Amino acid sequence: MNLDPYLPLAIVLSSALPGALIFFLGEDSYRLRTALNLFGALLKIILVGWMIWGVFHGHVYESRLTLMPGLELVLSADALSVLFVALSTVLWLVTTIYAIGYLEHSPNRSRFFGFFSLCVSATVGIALSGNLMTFVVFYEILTLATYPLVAHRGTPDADHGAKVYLAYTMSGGVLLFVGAVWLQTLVGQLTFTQGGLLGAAPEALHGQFILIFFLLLAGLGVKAALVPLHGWLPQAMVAPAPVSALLHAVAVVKAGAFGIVRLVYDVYGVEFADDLGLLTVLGVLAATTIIYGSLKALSQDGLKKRLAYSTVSQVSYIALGASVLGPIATIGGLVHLVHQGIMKITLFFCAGNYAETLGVHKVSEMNGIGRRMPWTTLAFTVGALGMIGIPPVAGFITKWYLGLGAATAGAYWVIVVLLVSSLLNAAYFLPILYRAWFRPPPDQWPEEAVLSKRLETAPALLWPPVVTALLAVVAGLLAAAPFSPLEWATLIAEREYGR
Amino acid sequence: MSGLLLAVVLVPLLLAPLVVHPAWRWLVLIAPLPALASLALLPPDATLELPWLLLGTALGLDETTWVFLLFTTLVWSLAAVPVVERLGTAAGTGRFRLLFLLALAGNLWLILAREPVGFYVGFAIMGLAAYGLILHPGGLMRRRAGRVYLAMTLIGELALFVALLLMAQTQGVTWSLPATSAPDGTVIALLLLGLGIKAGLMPLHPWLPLAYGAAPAPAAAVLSGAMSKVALLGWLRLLPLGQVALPEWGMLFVWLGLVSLLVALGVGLVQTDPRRVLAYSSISKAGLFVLLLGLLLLEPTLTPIGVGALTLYAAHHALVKSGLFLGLGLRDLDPARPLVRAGLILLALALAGAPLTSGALAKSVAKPVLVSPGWIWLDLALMLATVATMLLMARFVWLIWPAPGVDDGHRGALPMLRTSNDTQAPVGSQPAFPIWSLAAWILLLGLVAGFPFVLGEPSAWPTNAGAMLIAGLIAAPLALAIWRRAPGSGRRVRRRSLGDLVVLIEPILAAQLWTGRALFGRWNATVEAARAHLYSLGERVGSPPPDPERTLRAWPTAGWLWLGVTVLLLLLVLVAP
Repeated sequence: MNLDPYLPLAIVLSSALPGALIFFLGEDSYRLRTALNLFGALLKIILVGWMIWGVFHGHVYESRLTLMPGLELVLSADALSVLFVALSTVLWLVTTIYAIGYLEHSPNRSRFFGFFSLCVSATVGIALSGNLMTFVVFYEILTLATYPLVAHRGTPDADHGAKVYLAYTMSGGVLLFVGAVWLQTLVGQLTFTQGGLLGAAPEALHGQFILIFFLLLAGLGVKAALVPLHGWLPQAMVAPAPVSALLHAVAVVKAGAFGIVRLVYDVYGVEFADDLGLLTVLGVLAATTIIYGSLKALSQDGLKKRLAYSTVSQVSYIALGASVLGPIATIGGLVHLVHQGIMKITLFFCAGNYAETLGVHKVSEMNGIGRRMPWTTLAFTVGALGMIGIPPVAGFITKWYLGLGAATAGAYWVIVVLLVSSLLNAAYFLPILYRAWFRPPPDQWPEEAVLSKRLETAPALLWPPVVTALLAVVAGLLAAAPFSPLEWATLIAEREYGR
Repeated sequence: MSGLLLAVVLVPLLLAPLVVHPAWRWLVLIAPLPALASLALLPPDATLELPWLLLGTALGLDETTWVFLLFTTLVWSLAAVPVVERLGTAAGTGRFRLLFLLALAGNLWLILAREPVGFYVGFAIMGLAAYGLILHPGGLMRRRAGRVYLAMTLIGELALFVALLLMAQTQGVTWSLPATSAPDGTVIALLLLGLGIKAGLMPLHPWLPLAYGAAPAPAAAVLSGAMSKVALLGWLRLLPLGQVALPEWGMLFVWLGLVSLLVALGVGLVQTDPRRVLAYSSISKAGLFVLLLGLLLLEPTLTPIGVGALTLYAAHHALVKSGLFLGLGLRDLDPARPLVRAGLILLALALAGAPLTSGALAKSVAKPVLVSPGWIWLDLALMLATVATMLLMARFVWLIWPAPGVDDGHRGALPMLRTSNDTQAPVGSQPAFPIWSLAAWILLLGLVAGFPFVLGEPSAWPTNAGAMLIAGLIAAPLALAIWRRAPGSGRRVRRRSLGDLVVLIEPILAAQLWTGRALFGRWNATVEAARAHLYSLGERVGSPPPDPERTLRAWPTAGWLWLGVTVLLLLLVLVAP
């Protein structure tokens, strides 16, 4: 029996089913819940490994469900979806472990982990969507599954942040939906196609295509936190650290950025989008977002807020890569999808560790924290240096490819944006590192908790950032090795441009 | 066998986390050993392809690389001895050792790298790690020095990054360094900026005197001896030397170099801290390197001689300069030790290029390039520079001379050294003289002393004798003053010795002061006024609202904003062809 058609579906269900089961567990069944969580995560990793191998060798995986004629839900795997699926699967496992450690004694754990699993299922669904309608469906599910996570704490702050989040993302979802329907009435079924599917349409439609692009971009831009649609992100910081980590590195923000990549490459087609002048639009928006986010990050004292604005800035590197014509810039943008994920999740894990272990929430409280928590701070250092683009951490590879792609395409202004962004990143990350490593620690931390006798904090909190930091270094050091993110992004770019 | 090349980089990297622990601090001494071993065991053209590392890289040796690796490893090995022996186990020393090894790994990596990405990676690691070396063991002055260093280093790294990007764009993602074609002007300008900061070329030098003045002796030794030489290596590899004549760029390099060479010597003469004297001498040497590079850009046929001369010059300067800094470290422990003083004088003579020293040899090797254009003004300027360098070294010797009973005369010069010693040694107990550090230093002295006789022809030995004579005539009053200084009456004598020099120095000093005031006095006042004005402006406006973005974030505002942006961009799309 050929199992290939069921593989994409199985990957989505491997987290959705355990998630659904977890809702029905009592608060006290800690072991069963943990077992279900880890079982789902490990199963998914195995399935994704299988899929990576298959896609590399040119297999086609496709699950199809016809809702009505002309409207099909399609889950299929191409190289691009595999990149995002692999990222979310690996980071989901790490985040699950972290969340188990983080929420050990807090209430409503079953609700939390249930939505947590749904959130990842939706993300994987987005990654595997084979056409725009399927994408929209999972995009909405993601919005709904994330809301309870942001509001999890139940404080007034959390309520407010979650409401803002919902207002933004639901409105964005409407725009996306309208755009998708409009486009479908013009050209029929919107199956994601490498090289785009609009290029062959009659020229009379081009005006509408431009308008639709703005609609879709607005819908995706809300999640991708393009300025001025980024307002929800810093407020969603009230969520618990594992949620922030997931939001910023894997699920919500990344889903928006992934959607933009899909829109440019597989709906419009990058050359057609360039003909319409849409790449310039995207480039201007991305560049503005990059600079604006960094400038805002400079003035934040709250550690998580500073990281949030840094996300606003860094995720737009992906859009920036998509806005420059040419395979090298494409590689730079795509690989940042992964690189930003592992670096940013490291930073959020560390921020969570500081808050849980020492009660440190602000940059100004971080003096000498490297002495007290050396491993966490080491991981934080790796993540921060990677964000600036210091080699050999993965961020450098992104910067190199984006810069090289821009130079090849003659878009020298992109290099200027990269330079300014690097300097700004250095300006808001290096002072943190200086405080952490070179200032003397205070006599007493705001709220110190003893979470471990031997280690600096609880093992389930300590290992995830250390592992992801290691991944960030390995992704940079071994960028040319087979199956590295860079090699995979190169494969995607080859398939995209080498039709 | 060529796997040893990987060990050169990998061993320091792997040892770095271990040496944090005080009990394992001796591992610092092991770190440079693979580099020494590969120099001894590997053929001088060994290469190791590492296609899976970074973007696909390779490590390897060639003639220039071999010499750079040799002197760099020597400097780091010898500086490692005081790091282990003297720095002790106080708080922060673990961090110092860790960053010491990281900087070492970066330095070795970039020397061995056979392609530009590897070079850049090593460059960046080294540059960042060195920040922590300058900062040790803390204090306001070092923080300031570190901040200036870090800011300039980052700018330099970004400039180099863009230069490499633009080069890679014309030649593919990776390329082998020696096969560069003529790059365009932007690339050369960026290389000049990026590496000029590392070298301390004027006017990109401000970090250098601060850092050399603040860093502990071993850190200053590796900064001056090994790390700043990286700039020269980068230029040798990335500039289109020997391929095409670039007259305009050549002249720019010559002039930049010449200005740096002469101005730094002048500024160095009026310094009161021996470390800063050495720092300005480094800046002037960077000028000399750039001058030589400019001459090679003008006349490509001289490149084989020129590259050899530059490499030899770099080796000489690295050994001597790091020796001077390490010697200063020893002298601070016990200013009266005659052996240390004698060694420092020998090194100062070598740096000045006195006959029979390595400096004279380096000068004689570089001479064919220096006289190649046949410009009389250049010859005169170089003569002036030679004499001024000797005077600068005389000044250095004068500053390190232990003045009996004139502690107050030195206190102004060395405040941070005293404090650093205080923090290292427990109060009340005199630490034993670091015997291994001394031994390593004497080994270095031997290397410097033997340098001209092993590497040079006898004909090179008497180079600079004439200049030495002139400098001697000028500096004689100074020497006399030092000689006549009687014990116990230091302060008076010191003033008198200044009086002797007044004839020569005072007019220069006065002129400098006046020009300085004339040029910058107004400027400073303006800047101060502007700053005060800005501050008062800020106060008048009042503190900024807690989060000015709040209004922007309200969803309706954001929505309208987006619509506005959309319309604008739509117009752009429709208007633009």
